[in-house]
Amino acid sequence: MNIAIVDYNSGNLKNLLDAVRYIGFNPEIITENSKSNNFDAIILPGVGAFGSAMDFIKKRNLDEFVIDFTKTGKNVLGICLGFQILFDKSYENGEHDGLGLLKGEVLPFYKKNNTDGYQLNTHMGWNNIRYNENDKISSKLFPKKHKFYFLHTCFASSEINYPVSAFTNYNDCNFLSFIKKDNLVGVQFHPEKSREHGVHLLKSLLAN
Amino acid sequence: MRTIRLIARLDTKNQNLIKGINFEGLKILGNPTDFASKYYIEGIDEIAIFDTIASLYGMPANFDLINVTTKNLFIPIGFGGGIKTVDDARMAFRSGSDKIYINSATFQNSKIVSEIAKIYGNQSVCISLQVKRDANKNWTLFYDNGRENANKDPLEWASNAVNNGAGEVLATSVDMDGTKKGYDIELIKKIVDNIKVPVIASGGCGSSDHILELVEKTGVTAVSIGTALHYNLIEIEKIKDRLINNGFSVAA
Repeated sequence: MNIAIVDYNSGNLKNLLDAVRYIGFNPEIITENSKSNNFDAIILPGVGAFGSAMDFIKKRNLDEFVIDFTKTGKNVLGICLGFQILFDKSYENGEHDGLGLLKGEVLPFYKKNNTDGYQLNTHMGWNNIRYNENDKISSKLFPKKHKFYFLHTCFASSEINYPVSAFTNYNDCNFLSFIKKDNLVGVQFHPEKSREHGVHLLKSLLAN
Repeated sequence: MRTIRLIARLDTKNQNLIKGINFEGLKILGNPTDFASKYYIEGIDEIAIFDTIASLYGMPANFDLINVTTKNLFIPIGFGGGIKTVDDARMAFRSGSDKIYINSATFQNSKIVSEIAKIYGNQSVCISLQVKRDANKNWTLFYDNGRENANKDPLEWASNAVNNGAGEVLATSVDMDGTKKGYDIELIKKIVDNIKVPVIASGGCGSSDHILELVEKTGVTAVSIGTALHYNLIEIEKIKDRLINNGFSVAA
């Protein structure tokens, strides 16, 4: 399978490239609008800040590429920031429009600090994925014993109830950690950083 | 239930894994890539790689080393040592690190943390503190691999960095580093209690007792282990079992 990794001048792509090769697929980094039929699936990768990523995406017409690709019915996988930009809007350091492919908003985690009101709070580390037991797709993708690696300061929230979705809890905040809507898939954690089970999940999300 | 991250700390010089005591008397231990893959297979949660000489000698960081070491390690990787500019940070991310540790550069350019965080996100920048106690037992901050005294209060410096966008704090006690005598619990507690981003405790681990004592007495969520792993004084699986048996949660 040929996988396009959309580069919006974000952080670590090398490990994602390693992971995609490790599962036997052929990754290619793209930095501008490209032909959809060259690829079997695309990944929107996960390190960076929302505003700066969206500026880059718009400048290079990568938004058109992603939206057009979504219409082909082939899989689009957003990871971490790549998941967040699928939503309508983010409030990370200001207010920024996203791609609007999923309904909802991206909000920063804040935690009360003893000294100076509110301070940024990072969710960093391994956490569980929780879902409705009747959601057979999520049940199959996320066996109970598997934790996944999270590294983020903002989270996605939606008023819409996506039937195939999962949540994770951090600091009493229950946020969306997975959505699958037709061929559009997003995960808030990093499968490419979640040991072997994470890399195998990456394969399932891209191939099925 | 608090989840504890175990981080293997690999200090390197040129192509070698090295380790000393109090950042001095460095011994060559071997190839960092071999050690990193061993710890990955044994279940470490995260790896931190440091170039110990880049800042000290004003050289570019050893990005090739990250490139090679991180191949097929599907866990988070952090890199520190010699990152002075946004371009250095970009190189570190491109070479396979997920976050960077930054210390010396913050004393030369107060905007460096916010500049990197703005592009790569707050979670990608970890402020690294090298702390020693002075003659009056007060904590003071060092840089250039523990050589230069910055004459700053570590807590204040960490707070500023977090306000500027650092998403994590690495607190290394240079006094305890390599001694195998246990973490500086008082220091770690003080930082954890006053900083609301995750803190990594570093320096002094010699046994799983030290880790247990540290996590029980402080609210820390991540521990860095160097010497104890490199000299096989500790087994990753056994640390995790002990943490679980004592009411903590660990990564899968």
